[in-house]
Amino acid sequence: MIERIVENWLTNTNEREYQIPFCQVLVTQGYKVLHLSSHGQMEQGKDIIATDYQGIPCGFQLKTGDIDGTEYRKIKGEIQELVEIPINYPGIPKDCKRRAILVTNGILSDKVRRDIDDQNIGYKQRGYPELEVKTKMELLQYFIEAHGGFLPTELPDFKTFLELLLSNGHGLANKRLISHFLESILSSREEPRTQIQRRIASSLLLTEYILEPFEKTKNYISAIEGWVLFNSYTLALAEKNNLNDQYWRASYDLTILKINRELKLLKEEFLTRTTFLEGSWDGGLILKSRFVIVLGWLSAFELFLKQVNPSYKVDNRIYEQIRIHWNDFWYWGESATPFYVSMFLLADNFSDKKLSTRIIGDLIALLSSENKLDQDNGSSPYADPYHSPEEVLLSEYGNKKMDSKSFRGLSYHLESLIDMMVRRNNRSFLASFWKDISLVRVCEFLPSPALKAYNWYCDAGQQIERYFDRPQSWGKLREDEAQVTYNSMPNLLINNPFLRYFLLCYPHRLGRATLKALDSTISVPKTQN
Amino acid sequence: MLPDYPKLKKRLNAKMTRLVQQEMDKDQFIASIPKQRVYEGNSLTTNSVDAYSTTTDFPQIISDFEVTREQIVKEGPDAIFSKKGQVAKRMSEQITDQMVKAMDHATQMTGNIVNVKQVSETSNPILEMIEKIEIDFNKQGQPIIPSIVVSPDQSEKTKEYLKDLQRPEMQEKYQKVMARKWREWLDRENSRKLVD
Repeated sequence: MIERIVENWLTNTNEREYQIPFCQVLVTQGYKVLHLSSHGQMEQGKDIIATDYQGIPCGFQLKTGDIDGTEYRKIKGEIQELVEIPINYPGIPKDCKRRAILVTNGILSDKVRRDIDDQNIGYKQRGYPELEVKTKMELLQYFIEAHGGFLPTELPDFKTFLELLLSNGHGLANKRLISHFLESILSSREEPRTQIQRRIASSLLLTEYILEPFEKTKNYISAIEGWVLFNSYTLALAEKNNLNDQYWRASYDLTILKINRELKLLKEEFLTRTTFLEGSWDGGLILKSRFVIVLGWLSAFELFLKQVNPSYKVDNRIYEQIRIHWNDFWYWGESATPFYVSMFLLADNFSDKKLSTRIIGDLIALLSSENKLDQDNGSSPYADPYHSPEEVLLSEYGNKKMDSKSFRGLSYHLESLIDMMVRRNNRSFLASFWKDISLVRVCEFLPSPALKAYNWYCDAGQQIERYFDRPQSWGKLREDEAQVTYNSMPNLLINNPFLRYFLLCYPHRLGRATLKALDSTISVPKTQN
Repeated sequence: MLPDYPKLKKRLNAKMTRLVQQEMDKDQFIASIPKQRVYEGNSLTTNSVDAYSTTTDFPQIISDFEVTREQIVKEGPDAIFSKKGQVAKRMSEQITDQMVKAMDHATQMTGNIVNVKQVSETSNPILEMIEKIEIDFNKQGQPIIPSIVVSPDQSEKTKEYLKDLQRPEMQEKYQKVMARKWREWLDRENSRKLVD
């Protein structure tokens, strides 16, 4: 059955989509992947630069579909570059022995095979590497071997896998279902580290299969969320087993590359669109939520790039878009908080104190005024972070009303947002809202153990709820904030730029520690108050 | 196996849960308890304003019932729906029992106890209880008097106390207590602020 699934996927994918899974296969075969070219921008005929298990540098060129004589003539120039131009990468001598490999998920016609054989004679005579070819049958074999025995074998897990595989790729990713599937293939069990490494590699490929519908429909955010979930469960496995980087880092880094590529495509699309509607039955709150989600993700993307490369110049177009569309935003509930926090941090990066204070200030004002215990103006309190924007929209448009009574008097994120203001010494703002704030029970869920935070759902952990003191001492607020540590966070998320993506995907994991960790990646200027 | 309808049965199960909840909400006491959903974890710690902390690990509320095979054959799902009252009653009893135990524990911790046997003719147990608790007031300045929960064997006595509260001497005392409660409430409201 898996052979059919892999074959179906391989037949319908393109070189952009199979590049990362192919790199994963190379890693399982002992290759070390050094460089991937950006989408559509092959460099000197090479999409991938790697070294094989003997340390010989290899250049790979990836193609889609069958290659006949006509097609081969079109790509002949690129093939020449692949073979004749040395690999240009730090540490690889220009005159060293190397390999040149053409990869396609189709087949080569007999004529093309003969032409390549003839050309290889010439290449060899001129001291160039012979052109090697990997086609569909070899790729199929590689992918199936990479899975080994690491496939969902229990019927419910396989059913989930098929359900995800057959998705039409539209709409938001079903994170609960994807998590359930990832837990079935990436759950920790007693096995050697090399087995865990193989398991992670196989799981990356399986994740690619189930996310392919989203990638095909260019549903970037849903694909990204799927990859964030994969990486989270990979980190969980790594942390639980105390794995050295060699067993998981390659797969993890490939996924980060994948996520960032999708974000880059999202950015390109967003910045070139003149209208932001999608199909019929759109506009209104649906459109407003779209702005929040997209600009939240793009803000996180820019800050991620900045965090991994301090010399990166953050793209001010995203910041400008936030300023332009600010009045088009909608805070649907606490699962929107991470998006607003991303935008806040981006505005902060551009030293726009007015906008950044307004972003977080508005959230504190909304949560305290609408969620407080004795709110009697008839409005509904904001939904907790366990409710997606789609659920809230279904309720807003009357289709499936939520029981909003249970949200009354409670907030999961208010205390974390207040901490942000405390770090910025913004006492006067908080003082003006304090009466309402004092009527909200602030709560947080702490998974037990901390690394269970990677799971979409935890059955073990403590929910802690409290009211602020009456009256509340500002000095004590600052002491409390200073005492927030990262002990309740998984270790591999601390100081990890991936945390930005993690919180967007897991809004119910935004808490005092995770938000403090995110906030600490930028310098927090103290304002006079 | 023979043809079955799992999707329908899943909905019937959900319907039974709703019906049981509706039956339970007919009990004023149960209906008055605010409900909050906790999605994850296995314990809840609540810290009150006066630093009173409780931790609970979500005790189960279980109710079982019996239906005969003949009932199932003859009535189908209605045979189970007909048990909603019985299930609701047993669950309400368990919830009430847990709530009373929790309140009992809280009163033991805070010392908010009135020893009815020692009350004199010039005092009233209800008034004594009111004096010991916090009373909030609404925007119209009216007190929000909490519910009084008594066991069935105390209900007649409680009615007598409430009747006794209508005496002119008791009413005068009641007004003084309410005035004091009003000032306490104002102090609490004024303390909802950020200070040094």
